[in-house]
Amino acid sequence: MSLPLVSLQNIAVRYRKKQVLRELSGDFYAGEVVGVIGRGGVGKTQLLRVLTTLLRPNTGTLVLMGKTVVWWQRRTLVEVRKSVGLQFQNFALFDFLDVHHNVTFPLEHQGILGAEEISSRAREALDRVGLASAATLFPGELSGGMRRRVAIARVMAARPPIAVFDDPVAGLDPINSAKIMRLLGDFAQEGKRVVFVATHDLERLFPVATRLLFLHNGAVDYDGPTSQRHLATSPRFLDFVEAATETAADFSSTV
Amino acid sequence: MQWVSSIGKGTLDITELIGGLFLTLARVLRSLVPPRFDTYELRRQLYIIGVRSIPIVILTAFVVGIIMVVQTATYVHKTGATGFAAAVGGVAVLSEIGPALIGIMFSGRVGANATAEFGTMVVSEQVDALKALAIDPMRFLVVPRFVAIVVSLVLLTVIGDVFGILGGMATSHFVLHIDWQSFVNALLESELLDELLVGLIKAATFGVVISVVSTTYGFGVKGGARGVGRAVNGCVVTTALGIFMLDYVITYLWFLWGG
Amino acid sequence: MKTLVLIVRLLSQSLWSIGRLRVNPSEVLRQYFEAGVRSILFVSVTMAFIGMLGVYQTASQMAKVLPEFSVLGAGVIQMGIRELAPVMTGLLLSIRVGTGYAAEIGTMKVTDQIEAMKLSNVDPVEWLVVPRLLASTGAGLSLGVVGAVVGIATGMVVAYTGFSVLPDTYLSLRFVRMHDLTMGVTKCLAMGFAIPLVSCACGFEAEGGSEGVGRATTKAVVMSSMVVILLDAFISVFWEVVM
Repeated sequence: MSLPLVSLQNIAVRYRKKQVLRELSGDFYAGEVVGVIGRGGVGKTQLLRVLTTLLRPNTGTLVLMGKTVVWWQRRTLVEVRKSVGLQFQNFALFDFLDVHHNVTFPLEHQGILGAEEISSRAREALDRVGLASAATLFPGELSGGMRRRVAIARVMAARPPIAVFDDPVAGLDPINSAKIMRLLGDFAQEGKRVVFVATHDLERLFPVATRLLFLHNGAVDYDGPTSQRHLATSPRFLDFVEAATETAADFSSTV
Repeated sequence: MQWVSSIGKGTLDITELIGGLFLTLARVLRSLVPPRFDTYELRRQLYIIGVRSIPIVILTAFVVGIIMVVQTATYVHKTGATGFAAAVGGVAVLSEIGPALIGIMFSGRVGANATAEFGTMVVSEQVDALKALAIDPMRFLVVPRFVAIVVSLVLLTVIGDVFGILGGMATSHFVLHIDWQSFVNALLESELLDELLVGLIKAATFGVVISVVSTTYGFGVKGGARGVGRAVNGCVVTTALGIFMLDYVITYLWFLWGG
Repeated sequence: MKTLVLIVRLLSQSLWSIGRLRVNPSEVLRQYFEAGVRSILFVSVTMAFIGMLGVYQTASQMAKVLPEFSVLGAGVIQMGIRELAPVMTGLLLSIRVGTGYAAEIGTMKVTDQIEAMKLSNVDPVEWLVVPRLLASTGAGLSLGVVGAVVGIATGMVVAYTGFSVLPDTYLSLRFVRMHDLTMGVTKCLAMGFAIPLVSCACGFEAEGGSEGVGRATTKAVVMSSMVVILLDAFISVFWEVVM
């Protein structure tokens, strides 16, 4: 059994008197596509931010690529961040750069590859998300859906071993939704990498995700293979997955 | 020839802005007659705008009083006119530096804030929501603030004047070693009341400027978060320009009138 | 006060980056153009009015104490260099540039561009703050000079038309000593240096969409104008008492 690419040990996050994440633990291996699901406000984005070292947990340990993250030590953070890619929920594209340079930005600052290679990777990534023709446009000139695809391309071009996608298909039309999800699945297969996808689009997630991580109230309520989801014991999870709408849990949850 | 078109565009932008300002002013004045506006909102704004600005005005005025007297110190030694320090320190604060600087600090705190609030409301479509409910944003949002701003600024200027003089007195005594008595005497001998009056007229005018400019920029916001930032920037710049221009005009007219 | 802590942090990080010469000269120049050159119109027009204002006020005060106006020019010029020009251009700089920087950085913060930079191991302080810091310090000085020149020039016009003071008499550097020059220059540089630290800090603290950006810009202009006035007082008193 190889070493996990990502290891969470008792991660807890507290924000303004509210316990946002409680004692989360899990090991994630190369080749897995992990679907991070749950109701709104349950802690998905915070979890993804901890995974990508952008949010420091109050307690717990994070181990990425076998290296324990020492939060106050800049050197470790710099090292570890080279292996991580995040597609932000609100895209986080740089207004002052055009689409092509937005995509090449992480690679340029990694300082490993040459300009030629970086440029061709960017073009390839934009092509895969269907935005090859938008390379010279600026984020301000793009629609929300296009911006999200650029953000996705930015992660793909960097080809990180740990790739995280926060809401990659929200608000996209059905055709593009399907395309993107399939793309993420292919991307996971291509290298020895682990991919995390947070989304509400369960129908398109299930064919692609190998493992489901269902969060409720900041804690893991279900963590197991997608194919065995019907065998879960948690009623909340089953409701969520079957999209049952008549249960009392609908609006009365603590979220 | 690019610069020709940019001058042309600049002129058009400025005319559009000035037009917008006068339009806002007209709408505000029209809503004041007859005075039908939300008095609850007025009282709330008077507190937020007026009372909460007291600390910053006191601090500014006191510090300015210190600066004024320190700067005149050199002339005191040269001409031996200790009263001069008092006269300049006291009176200049009252009629000139006071209203302008307090106006600037106030425009930062209140004007920028109003633009930001209005701008955010426009971006989140709250203004449209009000209109859909047949509530006039002018009467509901703008006019109470207008009244609150003008009234607050006048009162704050009085408070500021007092503390400016105190600051000047303290500096004269402790740093320049001029006795209290000659300072107070010289102060009383100068035409205090006249200067105080000009100061208040200026304060009221600046209040109108701050309110009209911040409203115009606030409601004209386009483009989300970055639009709000740009509007606040434009607002404070235009307000500063307006304050100093009108300051000059009022001083000139007052001078002409034999003040 | 969280903001003050952040300001100190930005200061130390910026000085560290500058010390190791991790500075992008073309970016500094670009920022200088934005802050210094683009503000010239605003500063000139406003200082023109302030200059005229200043002469009116000084003249009417002088009339009560002195028999004639021959020292009007000398006095105004000295006061302009050591006090009026630095503090007024400082305020104008805090208004234009302070809000500008807070708005720019605040918008980037609420759209997560700052986090995206961090993830790519780009230091936001090095990339965003340092160029602005250097540019603004330079702009503080150059705008101060422009402001002084414009104010003195328009004052000269008013002195002639309103008080019959001939330009020759007005343009007298009689009262100006090294002491005044150093005071004025120090003020301009100090204000130019402090304003970006304060306004960038406010920008970095923005949170919550357009509301956050609005709040950050408001806070920036209030804090930086306060800092300008305090610096003015501090340097004035220090110079008089100590030098």
